[in-house]
Amino acid sequence: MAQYTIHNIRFYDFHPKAIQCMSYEDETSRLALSRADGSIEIWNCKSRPFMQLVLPGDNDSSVEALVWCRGRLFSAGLHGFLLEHNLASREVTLRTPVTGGPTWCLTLSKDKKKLAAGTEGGYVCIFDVVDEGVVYDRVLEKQEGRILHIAWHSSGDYIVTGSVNCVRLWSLKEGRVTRCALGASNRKDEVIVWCVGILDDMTLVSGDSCGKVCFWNAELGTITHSVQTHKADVLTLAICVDQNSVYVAGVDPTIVQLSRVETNTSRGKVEMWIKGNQRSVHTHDVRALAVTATDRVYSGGVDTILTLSYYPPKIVCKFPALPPLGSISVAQEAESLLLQYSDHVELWRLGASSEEGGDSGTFLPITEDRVKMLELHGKEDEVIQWCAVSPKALWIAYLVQGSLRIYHFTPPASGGQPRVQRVREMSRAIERSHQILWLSEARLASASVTGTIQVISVSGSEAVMEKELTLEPGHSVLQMTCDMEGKTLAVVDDKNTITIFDIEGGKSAVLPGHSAPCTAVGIHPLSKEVVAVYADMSIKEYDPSRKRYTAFCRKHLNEPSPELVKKHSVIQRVSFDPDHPDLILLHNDSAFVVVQKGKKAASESQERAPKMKKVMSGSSLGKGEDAGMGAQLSVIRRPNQVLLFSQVKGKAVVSVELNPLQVMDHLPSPLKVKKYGGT
Amino acid sequence: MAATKAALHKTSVLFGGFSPKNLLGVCEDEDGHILVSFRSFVKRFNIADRQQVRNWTTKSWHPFTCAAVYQREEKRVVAAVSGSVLAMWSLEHEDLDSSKRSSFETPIHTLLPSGNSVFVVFTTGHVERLSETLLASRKSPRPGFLSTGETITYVEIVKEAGLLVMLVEKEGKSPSLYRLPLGDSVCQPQDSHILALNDAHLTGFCATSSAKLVTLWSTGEMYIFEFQNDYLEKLPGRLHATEQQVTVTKPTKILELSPSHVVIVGQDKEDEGGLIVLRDIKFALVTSIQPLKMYHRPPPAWVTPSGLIVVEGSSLALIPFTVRESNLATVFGSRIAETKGFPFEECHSWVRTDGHQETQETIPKEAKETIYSNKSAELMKVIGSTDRGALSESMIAVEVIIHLIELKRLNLLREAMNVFVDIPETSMVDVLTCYLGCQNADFEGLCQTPYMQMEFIPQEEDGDKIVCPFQAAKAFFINGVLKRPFTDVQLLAALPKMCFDHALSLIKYLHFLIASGEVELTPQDKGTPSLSQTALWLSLLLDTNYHQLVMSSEVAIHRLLLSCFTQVSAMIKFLEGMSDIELLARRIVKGQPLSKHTHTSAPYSLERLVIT
Repeated sequence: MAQYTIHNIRFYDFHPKAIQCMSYEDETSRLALSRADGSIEIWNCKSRPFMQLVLPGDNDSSVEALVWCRGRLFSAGLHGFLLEHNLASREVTLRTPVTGGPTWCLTLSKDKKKLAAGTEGGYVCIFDVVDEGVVYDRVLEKQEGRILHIAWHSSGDYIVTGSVNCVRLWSLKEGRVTRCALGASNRKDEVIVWCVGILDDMTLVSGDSCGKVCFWNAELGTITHSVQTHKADVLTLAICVDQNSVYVAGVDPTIVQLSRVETNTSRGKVEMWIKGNQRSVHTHDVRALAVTATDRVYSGGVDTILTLSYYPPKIVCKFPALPPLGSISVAQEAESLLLQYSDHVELWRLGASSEEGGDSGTFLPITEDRVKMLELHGKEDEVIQWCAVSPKALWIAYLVQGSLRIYHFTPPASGGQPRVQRVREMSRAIERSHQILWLSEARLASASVTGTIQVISVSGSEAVMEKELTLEPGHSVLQMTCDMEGKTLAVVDDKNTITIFDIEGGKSAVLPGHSAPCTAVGIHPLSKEVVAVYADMSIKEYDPSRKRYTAFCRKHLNEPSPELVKKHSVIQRVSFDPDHPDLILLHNDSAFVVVQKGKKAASESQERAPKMKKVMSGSSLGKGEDAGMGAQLSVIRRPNQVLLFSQVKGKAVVSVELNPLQVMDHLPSPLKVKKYGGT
Repeated sequence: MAATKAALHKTSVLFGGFSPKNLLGVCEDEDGHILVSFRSFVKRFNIADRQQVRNWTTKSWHPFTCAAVYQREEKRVVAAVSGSVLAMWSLEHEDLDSSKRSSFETPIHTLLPSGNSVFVVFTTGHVERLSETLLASRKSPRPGFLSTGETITYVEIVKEAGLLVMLVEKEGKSPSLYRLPLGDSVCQPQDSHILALNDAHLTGFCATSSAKLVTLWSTGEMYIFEFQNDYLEKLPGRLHATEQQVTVTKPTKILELSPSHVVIVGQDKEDEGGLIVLRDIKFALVTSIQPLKMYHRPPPAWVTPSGLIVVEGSSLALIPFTVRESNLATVFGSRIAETKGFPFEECHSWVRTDGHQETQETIPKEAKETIYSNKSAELMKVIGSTDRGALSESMIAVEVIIHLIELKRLNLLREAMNVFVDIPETSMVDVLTCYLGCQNADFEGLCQTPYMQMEFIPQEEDGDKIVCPFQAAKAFFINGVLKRPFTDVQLLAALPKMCFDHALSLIKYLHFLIASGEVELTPQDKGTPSLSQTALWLSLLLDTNYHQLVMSSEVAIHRLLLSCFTQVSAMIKFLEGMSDIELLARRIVKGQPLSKHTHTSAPYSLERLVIT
């Protein structure tokens, strides 16, 4: 029986930002979404969707449109540039100005060779996508008013744009613009066309500020159908691959599916668009929709939650916003926690209780409260991207625009002040990086933008590169974790390879490949075995010394646990307890999951255990019943969103949690329908 | 409004488990008891407690062939057995085999009770009073006017006209209506006529006690023929209405509930089940509809003074009803309809059993009230003096209030606001405008006013002192209007006619009421409106005067609005604080165990985790 004291941390002041736009690439099953702070999240949707990496934004960032093009990601925003993002280095590799200033929208031609951008100034700029980047092609004739949304016809000859009071159809071959006016000429209030689309049969689709979705005959420039789908602005639409359905949503957060039907009338068969399924899965404005080839709808908006919905069967999966990777770092030996905010980091020493024992779920009196040891501010206008604290909390490091900042922290002596000293002398060999990890005190692993992993030693006021570890060419680091001594480093890369480096010995081993992407990895502090958890909820245990899966894994972890398979959120972190080597501590966004190796599965007494909020026995982990030995899986549900769950020194674990109501409190008011009329 | 309208009430089941085909008929014997006749037995029920009192069973080779009736003058039950035998027995009689029997040559079609006597209708069309039948020779045949192949499908006594109406059908021909004089022995009709309508067949038929013939045709058209005014040649009479609810192509049963109301029992047009439609034949309106589980062909339904008896599913059910003579107010809606009491008829005899205590259903208070009820003599005089062309209370109230405003009779206005129940929102706004236009002194001494706090000093950070814009007497009068119930959309339409200055005064006053806590969630006898009413008034006033309030450059107005916002926000915060207690208190009240996670909202806590 393992007993722990949970440090419930709910003071991490994390405010998720609204989702602005999104783009889905079917070929790689990746979803890119941007948030209001200019950051771009890449979600891997191959199996269960999970946030794979974050391209951090800064104060000048603005992402109004995103486009995938053969695995390359382009964005545009109010800064007036077309950017290409390098997902390996997390840097912007290309910055091309767009004629017309602030850019509201982007679209890609079907052959994926051309990009078009719609701008504030009324210009549509067309670029050729080449291997080296993008090349300016031409600008279409300037039109009055901003271009809010743009779509490219599958033939590549037409572009449709949405502006205030009109939808325009641009013939690229003829250089002609057809203006489709919206609303009556005597109408005083303007109609804003927020989103447009074009079907293969040249039917234009537009969503506007009146809450209407209009279907246009492109040749005549007239509305053929108009459906009042929403009570307020329709902000976004997405067309299904079969072109028989259109999903629309907006300020009125219901996602409405419009389906094309044929009805028999006196004039013969007439094509109509009718309202189909409605999905009320958001509480606030829906700003972005993305439809996959399998008709799955990703949606997001002001409520900050990414939602996946599809029908049939009726499935809705909600993925709450997570803080960027590397925002929370635990100093296990010092029982401290480093929390990252955009402009500063905070080091907190955890509290303690004099009482021990008691039932699971009981709260202990706090005899020694948490203490904020340090608040370290960056320079003005600098945005901190990643932070890490060493196990004894003597060293703090963070990244600002890829640059490494290292500080030596001296805890306060009795009654004294803490001291922080910056390591100013950085070896020239140290490259810009996107991820850091303290291996031990004064020893740091840094994932450089060039793709290598640099081991950096810090002594006094100097940091030098000790050695460089390399992955397979073309691979870039997604996650790093090390053992307690800092001698073994496990690296998950973007090609879904898990490489184990013996830092001292210079050896490396690669885990056998798995079909689903890896979501979390951990190294056992005693046995040095590597535990990897995948998006299909498989758990694998690998012995790097013998370069094979452990006997336990081969026996009991052949298939994902049915209890875990039920969940749509992936395992985010793996940690261990040296005092209980048989335990594997995992967590997803709503629960702790504890795997107890060598425990008989599904014993009756455990099912009745009142101490757990919910204990579910993983009886199907391998063939545990035949062997007489197995693994018990305990799922401990938490009332709040779990951001981090990790073991700290002694019999303690730390759980950083976020109350969803706290997030809701910071959101603006949703659309309200007035109950009575009047002025 | 509903209380003055004719209506069908809740159905109650008498008994079940029989085949509706074997049901012959239902007849009331004495007050509160009914006789239900089947082919093999007759049951007697007490309607009050829905209990069976007695059951008489006949031998299977002597089945009942027509429904048993009660002969009041002899206090006995009479039924026809084996077609041509009359069986008679008293209510206390137990063994039917020993009942008195009389055999006749001519088969008996129906027994019709009328007042104290019973009429025997033979299949030949001959009709005799029972007493005469028993006196006359039983062996002699009863020749009638009907020829072979003609069958009686309906026979009813129209007592008011001293008639007996008989509908006779012959295969392949339209039905004929025969009118017979009501006498001791009648074998020839007065006159007869074919009852037919172009392109339609007869699906429902009823001769009412008020000498009217109501017919329903397969086209849905409903005709009424008046025996006393029209010749039979004019059949089927004048077109009355078109039936929309029941399937008119299938047989229906029309029953008279009162001179002004009939029910049509038929198949639901929307559904496969049955439907009872209560129709007001005076105004040609449907006043009540009640669905039935099944439709039987023809619909088994009978009317007794205790209620309507129908077959609901495979059970016999009683549906009590209330029918009162309609007038414009009951049809179009008004609480108090007339200045004088009006005669009404309703089924008064059915009583409800609540536990062991029997309670007579009381006549609704509203039904007894007139427009002069609960009014002072002075106000009654004003009501009397108004040119009251309208029938409804709201119309009278409008007239009276306009008159009182013209006379500036503030005290009478206050009384009118208290005693009239149905006052339109526009009149409420008129009264408020009148009050707001009057000086404080005009209200002094008119009546006793309860104590009211006239100023409110908030905490320092919450703003300045808030003073009631009116004196206590004026505030009391205004409260009388504010506390009246209203419909928001109606009030919103009426409020624009109040000028901005008055609206602003009222906003100030409502703001004071909310801030000072003078209004309560459920007001006591202080005469103040409730908090929700006050908030709704304020909200509607702000809505109506939105533009003026926003465009105003007056600092005082902005301060007032700001103060409104501050006070309301403070109250919301205060009440939100209570929500935490509510959860805990609810658990304690329900005796539920308290959650161990009472501290989960704390920013930092230590918790035990035991993994077994």
